[in-house]
Amino acid sequence: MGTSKPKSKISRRNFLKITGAAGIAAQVATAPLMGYKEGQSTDTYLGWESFEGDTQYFDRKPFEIELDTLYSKHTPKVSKTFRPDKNTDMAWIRVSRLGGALKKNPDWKPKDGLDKLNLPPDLKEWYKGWNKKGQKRFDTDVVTATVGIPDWVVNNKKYGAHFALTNAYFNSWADIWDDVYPTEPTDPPEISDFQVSTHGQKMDIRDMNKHRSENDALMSFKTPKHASKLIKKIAHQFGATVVGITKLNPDFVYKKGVRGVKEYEDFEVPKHWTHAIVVGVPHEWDQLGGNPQYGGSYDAYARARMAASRLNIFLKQLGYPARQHVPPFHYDLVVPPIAVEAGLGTLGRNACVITPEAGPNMRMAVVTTNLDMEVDKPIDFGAENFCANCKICAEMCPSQAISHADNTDGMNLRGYQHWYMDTSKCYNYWMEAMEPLGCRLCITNCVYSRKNNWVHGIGRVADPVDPTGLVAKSLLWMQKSFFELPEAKKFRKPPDGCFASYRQPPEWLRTEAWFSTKTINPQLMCTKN
Amino acid sequence: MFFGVFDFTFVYWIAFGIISVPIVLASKEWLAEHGFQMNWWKWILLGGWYISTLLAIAAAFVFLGEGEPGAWWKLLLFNLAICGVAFLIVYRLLKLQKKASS
Repeated sequence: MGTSKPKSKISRRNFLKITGAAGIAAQVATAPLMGYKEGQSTDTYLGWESFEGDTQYFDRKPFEIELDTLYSKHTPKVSKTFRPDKNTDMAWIRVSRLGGALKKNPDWKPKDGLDKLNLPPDLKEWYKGWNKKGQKRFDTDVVTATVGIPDWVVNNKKYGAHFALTNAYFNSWADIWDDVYPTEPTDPPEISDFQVSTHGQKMDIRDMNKHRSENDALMSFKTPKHASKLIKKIAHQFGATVVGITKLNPDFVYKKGVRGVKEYEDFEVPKHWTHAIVVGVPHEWDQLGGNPQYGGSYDAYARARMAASRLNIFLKQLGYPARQHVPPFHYDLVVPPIAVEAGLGTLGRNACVITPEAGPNMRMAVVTTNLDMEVDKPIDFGAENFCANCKICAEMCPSQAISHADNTDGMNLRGYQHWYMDTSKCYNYWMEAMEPLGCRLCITNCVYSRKNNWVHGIGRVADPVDPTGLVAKSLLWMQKSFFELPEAKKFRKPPDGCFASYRQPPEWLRTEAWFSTKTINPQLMCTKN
Repeated sequence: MFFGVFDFTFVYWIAFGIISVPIVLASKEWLAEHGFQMNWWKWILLGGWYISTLLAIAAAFVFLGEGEPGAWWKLLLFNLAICGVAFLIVYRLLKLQKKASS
């Protein structure tokens, strides 16, 4: 006797619908997981995972502008241009010189004024120039030298142990510039740029050419395009995240204080400095959020330094003279305007180069040479307009060193009109922050300083091609409405602030997570208040 | 990177694709049952809304993963509100077409 098969209670149609509903539930439930994983993924840490050049992913071609347009429309020349001076323009050199003068004039009081202090003439003139522009840089530098630095010593004794781990980490990166690598040029460029060491043997590259070729010929590239392509490839191999090439504009070479040349001697730009190769490397992304107290500059400094120094040797090995200009202060030129000319980005409100890939989170170095290469063009990808409206960096700057103006009208730095910051105010805050020198808050809180994931990618792709500006306005509104933007004063030293950080620093930089030593955490003062 | 050394992301996307098949078939059944007469642009509209909603949810959680605890839930609410409004518009468009054809 056959038994009939029991009829299924669920029809085919209902089964399909239940399966479909379950599928939707699965996809909706896993979307947050995938998003969370993307946010955490180290694959989005641009610049630290690839040496193959994929890190410079932004297609700059559609946004290229001519140099003439850069200097007529974007960064117009508004007066006679003149070259920078390392001894006055670099804040730490300047404050150190001022500190020396204050020591020699112990009876001088701030109320006596600038004229009564026996300062080196160039420094006095420089301060007077800024006084005329309405920036009291002398007054700020005096506060830094007389209050900021002594206070920093006191605060370090009180709170330093709490930040010991982050200091240890960043100082470990810094050891390479204590004359370890690369060695500093001790001769003028006409000599040192032509010298290279191979396996410990120092030689002149012109002699190397003689050894290498019967007809004493230089290794000549097929075309300038071949040269730039190879140099960029090699720079990426050496660890550069972004690379750009331009002809060297002498306006940005220091007129004094050049390495290998007598300190106060006027410096003629060498004939063999025809081209500049600019390399950039971002800071590690997790530590960036810990700024100003837990973050540091030295990781990116060290990597940019290594990439440029190796490129310098590579050029010399091929027979071309070269000199590296590397962080933290081993430069003979000012890097940002050269990077702009090389098409790596545009000058932002915070006076940093805003790159399309990582915003201002890009530490740069330059190699000068006479190798004839195809040069890049400057770009305009919309960051300039964004900066004019954004102002987050200015609002959050603890020392109010960044301008709140709506545009750059009236600004004039060595003949060029563009954003610049009050370096005296900026350096004044450096002498408060608890990590090894610096702040970087304007790098951290910039909306362009975001990791390389698809969410930020949408903004990066959509904003530059949007002629209406609607994308920029929406992104800015979301940034200001959704994201926590701590008050500027909280970053300052107690009692005004509590040494706040922009975000919670990563665990591997927090002393209390690893050490049993009792420390005083000043940031708790903000929690209590 | 999922689960240690193995990158299961590609497995996820394969599973996502497989799961999408019954979702499409079920949607077809459900829409027919409720009298929606679908054509190519309606499918694109509906599919676009569905994918956008998934991305909108995922986007908010990207910020959670990035360590922006203050931003992710605000963005999630904002995105869901936008998706809700978009759903109403899509729904109306699908319905309007049905009325026109009837």
